[in-house]
Amino acid sequence: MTRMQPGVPVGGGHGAGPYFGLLCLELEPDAKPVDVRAEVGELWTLGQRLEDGTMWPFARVEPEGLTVLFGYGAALLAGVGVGVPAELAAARFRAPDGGAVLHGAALRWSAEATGNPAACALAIQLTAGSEAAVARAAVEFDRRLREGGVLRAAAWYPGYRRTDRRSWLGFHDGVANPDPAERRDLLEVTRGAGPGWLAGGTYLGFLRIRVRLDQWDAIDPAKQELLVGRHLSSGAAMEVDPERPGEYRPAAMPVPGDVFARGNEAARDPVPVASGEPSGIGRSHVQRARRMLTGRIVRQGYEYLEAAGPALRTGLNFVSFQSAPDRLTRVLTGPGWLGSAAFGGQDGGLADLLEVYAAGLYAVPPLRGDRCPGPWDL
Amino acid sequence: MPESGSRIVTESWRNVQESVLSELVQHDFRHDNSGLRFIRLLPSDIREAVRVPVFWSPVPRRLTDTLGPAGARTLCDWTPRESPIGQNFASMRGGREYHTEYCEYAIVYDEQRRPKRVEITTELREWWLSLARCAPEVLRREAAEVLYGDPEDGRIGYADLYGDLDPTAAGPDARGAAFQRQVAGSEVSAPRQAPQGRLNRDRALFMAVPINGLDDLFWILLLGARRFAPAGELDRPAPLPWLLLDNPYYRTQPAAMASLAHLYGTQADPAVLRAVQLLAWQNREIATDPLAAVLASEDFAADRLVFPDPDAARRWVRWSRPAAPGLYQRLVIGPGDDEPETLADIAVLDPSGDPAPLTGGYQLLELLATGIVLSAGPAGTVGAAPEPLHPRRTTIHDPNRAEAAELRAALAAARGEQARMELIGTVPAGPRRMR
Repeated sequence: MTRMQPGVPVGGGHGAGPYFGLLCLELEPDAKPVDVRAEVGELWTLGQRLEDGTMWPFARVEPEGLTVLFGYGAALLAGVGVGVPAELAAARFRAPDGGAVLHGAALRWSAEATGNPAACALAIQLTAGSEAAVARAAVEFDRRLREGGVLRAAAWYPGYRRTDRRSWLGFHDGVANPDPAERRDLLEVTRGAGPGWLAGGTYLGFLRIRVRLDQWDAIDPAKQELLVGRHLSSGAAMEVDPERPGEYRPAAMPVPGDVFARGNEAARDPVPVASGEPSGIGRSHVQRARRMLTGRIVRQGYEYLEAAGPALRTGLNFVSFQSAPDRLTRVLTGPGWLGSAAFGGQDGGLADLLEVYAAGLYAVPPLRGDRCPGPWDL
Repeated sequence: MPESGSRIVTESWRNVQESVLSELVQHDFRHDNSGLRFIRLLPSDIREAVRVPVFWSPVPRRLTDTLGPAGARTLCDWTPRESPIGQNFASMRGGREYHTEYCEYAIVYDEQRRPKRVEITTELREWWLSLARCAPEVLRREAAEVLYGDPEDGRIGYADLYGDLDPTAAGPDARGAAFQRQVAGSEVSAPRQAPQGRLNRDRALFMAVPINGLDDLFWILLLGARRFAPAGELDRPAPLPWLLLDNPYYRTQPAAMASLAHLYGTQADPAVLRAVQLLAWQNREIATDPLAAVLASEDFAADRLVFPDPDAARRWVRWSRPAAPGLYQRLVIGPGDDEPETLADIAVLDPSGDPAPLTGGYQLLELLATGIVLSAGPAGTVGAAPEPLHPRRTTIHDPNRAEAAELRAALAAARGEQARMELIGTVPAGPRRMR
């Protein structure tokens, strides 16, 4: 049986750390395939040493659970002459123009985005137990890249999970991710579903999304709960109130504490609600995101905060893993899902809450012993 | 089901439902009626019910898992030439055999064998069979309306529906048997009986692939309608795969239990199982309302289709057979017979916005959602206790790999036959060329 690269959230103790960074590398225009392959192999070897805690010029450091994951973009696979999997080619994000990130999606590019560095050749996802451990690994990769070669750094997107497991919106996040027993099926590219070198691997989706808290904070908390589909305080999923037609209520939680408390599992995973249900809860973010119960993705969220002049900007590194790119594109473009609303609520609502600054999709082949994963012998 | 208004039709359909459910409990579940604590046939028997939509992609997952999207598309759209009627067909025509997610389609061709329209249906075989047994003239009118838009259309006669049998001079059993042979097919016949007439081979009148039947729908509802919990953790619902790895109905039948994992490799079965599991965990009564597989018009990604002009967009997308507001059992896409255009005059945009000609039904499945709608009563109505599951393995890995060789062979055969047809000029090359 093949093994996923570290950093893929397969569950069962193999989770990624709470600190995250995505290092996007692009190809030099005249890069020769043989040089590209060699450099990818060198970087992979470096990543293995970093995971192990070997860090030049020191003998060894505590890696703090560092995971190094390589995702190959269409540009890399085309650049080395391997051929881009058709499903990856068909799911590429549109170039930034202020419009939709995918045809049929409500999620839009920021007007400020003039390029998309995440549409890169190689995406290296780093996760670890501290911000310093992630940054340290990124610096080591950058040090190697500055030595020269055919790959160069195009962007760095750091982020982290809050210990209270809430997003900047104030609501619990990552509540209804699939049980570990279901993840392998949702994550894994089966033997016949793609090229042989990707069998047992997965696809990584990434969106760098600015979250406009100035817009969000202007909304009444009760309305926010309706938009999200969860109770602000406890995180319990909202459900239709059978005793009061047209109203909704938080799902019962048998155990004190919030929705993550052991015993409150049933309040995490809501029963589907019809989109036209009079209370409006059927159009919430939670309900939209699970419009099809078997079309799921395994989502990871890492918040970020950055300065823009004197102001602060909040945002989310949306990271998803799935067995096929169309699992993600269907969520983003399906009319009953996020195709008609970028977040939740009525169709076309909250159009300015989210703005995308970068987006990419990558093939993540499985491990092959000590060799560099992918369609080559490195 | 469409309301036909006749008391005898309604009673007959109700009897079919009761009979199917009863047979499942007696045979498949060996008189264990645990699931019937939760399942109700009549939605009106449930007080304070709320609607629970359960949708999935109609793209057959068995094919995408084993052949990839390109191979799945080729096999799904494969429409071979057929021998003259009189041959004993062993399966549905071509790729229809593989439409296994409660959604089937037929590609209708023009005289030059160019794809003209796609007829997509989610109608249950059992309802039509019930009609055939009890009301031949209602059946004839319904079929004419579905296929030609007019119940008075004379292009459908009893011979198309019953073959050599005169249904006006025969009893229900004889009518049912004749209709089954001609149009509906049967899984339980030995050997399996595929439809022999044109109505459900060249056209898509209703679903006829065995796995898309009412019995399979009831079976999966019953299978999941218990309060399954992990052993030692009775305060939470069991992970979904465990329902197929340690289901108490099949603990004494190891071979049957082993085959359950196979169900995880579809879109439909795990979706229904999940919804029923969540509702049963809350001790809620459940009914399908309406009792039908449906297409949700609001989930159709119509903006991914580009038509030659706005008027064509209106004329060439035809929803019918409504089961509830916004829910339909039939969708026909493509020009009418009196128009010169073909299906390829419609373009499909991929998520990146790149266009490609529409060549068959698979591309449309990618834009649709199929499902059922459940009515669910308030939590705590049933009062069942949690039942512990303790499977030896905890996950299901690549559930379709056992079928890969067979499906690859089917794809190779389809590609070979397509090449031969193009060689002898019975199929125009171009958009329909196999990829």
